[in-house]
Amino acid sequence: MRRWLALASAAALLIAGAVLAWIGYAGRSAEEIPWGLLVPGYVFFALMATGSSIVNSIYTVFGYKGPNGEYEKIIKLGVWFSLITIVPAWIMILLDLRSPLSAINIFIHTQGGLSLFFQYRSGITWMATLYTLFALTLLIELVYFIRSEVSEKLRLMKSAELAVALAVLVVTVVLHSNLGQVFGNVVAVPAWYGPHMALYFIASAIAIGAAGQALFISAFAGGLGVREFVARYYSRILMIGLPVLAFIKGWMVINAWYNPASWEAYSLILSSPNFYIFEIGLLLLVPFLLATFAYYKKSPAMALLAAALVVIAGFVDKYDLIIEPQKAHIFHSLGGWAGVGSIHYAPTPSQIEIAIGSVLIYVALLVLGVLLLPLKPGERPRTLFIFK
Amino acid sequence: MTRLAHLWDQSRCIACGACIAACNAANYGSSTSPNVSWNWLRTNIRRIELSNGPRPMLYLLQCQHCENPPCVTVCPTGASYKDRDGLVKMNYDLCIGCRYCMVACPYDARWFNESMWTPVKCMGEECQARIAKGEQPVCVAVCPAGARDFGDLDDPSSSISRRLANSRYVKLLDNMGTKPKYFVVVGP
Repeated sequence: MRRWLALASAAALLIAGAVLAWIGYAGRSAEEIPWGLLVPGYVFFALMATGSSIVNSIYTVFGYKGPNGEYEKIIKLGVWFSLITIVPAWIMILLDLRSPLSAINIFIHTQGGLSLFFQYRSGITWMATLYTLFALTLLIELVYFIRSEVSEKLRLMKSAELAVALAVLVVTVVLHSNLGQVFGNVVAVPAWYGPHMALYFIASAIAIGAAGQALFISAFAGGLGVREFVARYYSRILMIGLPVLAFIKGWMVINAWYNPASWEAYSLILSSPNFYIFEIGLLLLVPFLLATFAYYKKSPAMALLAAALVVIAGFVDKYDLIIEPQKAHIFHSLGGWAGVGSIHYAPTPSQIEIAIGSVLIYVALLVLGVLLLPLKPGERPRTLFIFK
Repeated sequence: MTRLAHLWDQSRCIACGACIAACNAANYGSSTSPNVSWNWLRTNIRRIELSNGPRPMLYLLQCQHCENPPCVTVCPTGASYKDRDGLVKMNYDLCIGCRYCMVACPYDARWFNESMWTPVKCMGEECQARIAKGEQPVCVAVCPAGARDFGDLDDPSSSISRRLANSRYVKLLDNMGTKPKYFVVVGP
């Protein structure tokens, strides 16, 4: 009875999210900057998905199983989290396009007959390709883990398991570094231009992905008897990842200081309280201290708090990094000396509706997966090959 | 080879705005709907006022029809392309509205047409039709001061080539390597 109630609630959430996203899509309007709220929203979830996939690879590729094999109990949940976290990213970016189906023009042209197309110089073309590979390889990995519960033959195919895991890892690393360079290759926006964006996105992805996954896994950690492992494992990733992130971020700011065009954007970022409260305090300093405390004191509550802060502040960080340089780019190249005036941007109601709708769909899918798929130890696929 | 280019003579321009109004009328049916990207009219020419000088001056900015156009490089569908005459054009049927071209343009020469949900730019459809018939773009045709010109840089006898040969001119953000073909004449 409880399971049916949970299923009905998740389905209702799914429908509510879809309706809200559709309302937002129907009421879209243009803004002064080309890439508004939905682009940082998309980047945030894409990084969380790919980052959590890298975290999974610590088990799947590098073979770390925890002091008492605890990781084995949560790996399927981790893979499911990575797979579904890409969905809100896709919804946000597809609903920001002319129409969601128009994305097919990236690969197939129908003008004057059907023809295949691949503009290899465009970072967006590579993103579309890599997302397809990402979802496909993760899906194969998840099905492998689910089916190997009932198939001795699959369990023994260790080299196949490693090959799939390696494919996931390679696609993941290429994906979020390419996402960074979608911005980093834009010479027109000096604050983005350069290879630092790929590095920053990889470091961000690992921190945000580990934090997001920690929040999700924590919901089941007590029942699975891995509370202490989860607290220590994710805290340790944050303890390593956050200083790396701080290091790259510090150099990005210093580098911008030497480039007047880039500094136009960074002076906007640095003049906002967001930078000090979220990007420094709540993304780097406080979570690092909390994670260190959680690791040594084996405190799940502290680990959870650190993870929640990284997720929230991580979004603000991406928002500022993507929005502010666009305002400065226009202001600097045309307006700064010409007295055109500054650019103002605030998310429109339709963008907020699409973003919230995407998140509702995301939460619903996460819950549906846990209810329908055998993701926890002891659960076995009984229906339609992979359902429990 | 043909390399079509624009010339705007700042020293002759009388700031009447006829080119802007003509672009709006010819390419956007005199639309009064806003151009949110530029906070301006629906026209492919952006008017920037230089308020710091001793006398009012203005600057007219539009697509530079670069020889190395970043907007074409980043387009994932080939909707932005350079034609055989060197003009940067849009195929709206292929455009997915990702706006990467808008972000990549250092001149901010594209604006977002909300009704089509695609970026648009100079040349508009009407101007392209005029050029195909051997006529000048509307902004050139209506200029009462002869401050605008358009033609083939590779033809030494073209009006634009002769004017450039006898003028001092600048190209915007030339150091970025985009090789713009919008020549701003600053004096004889």
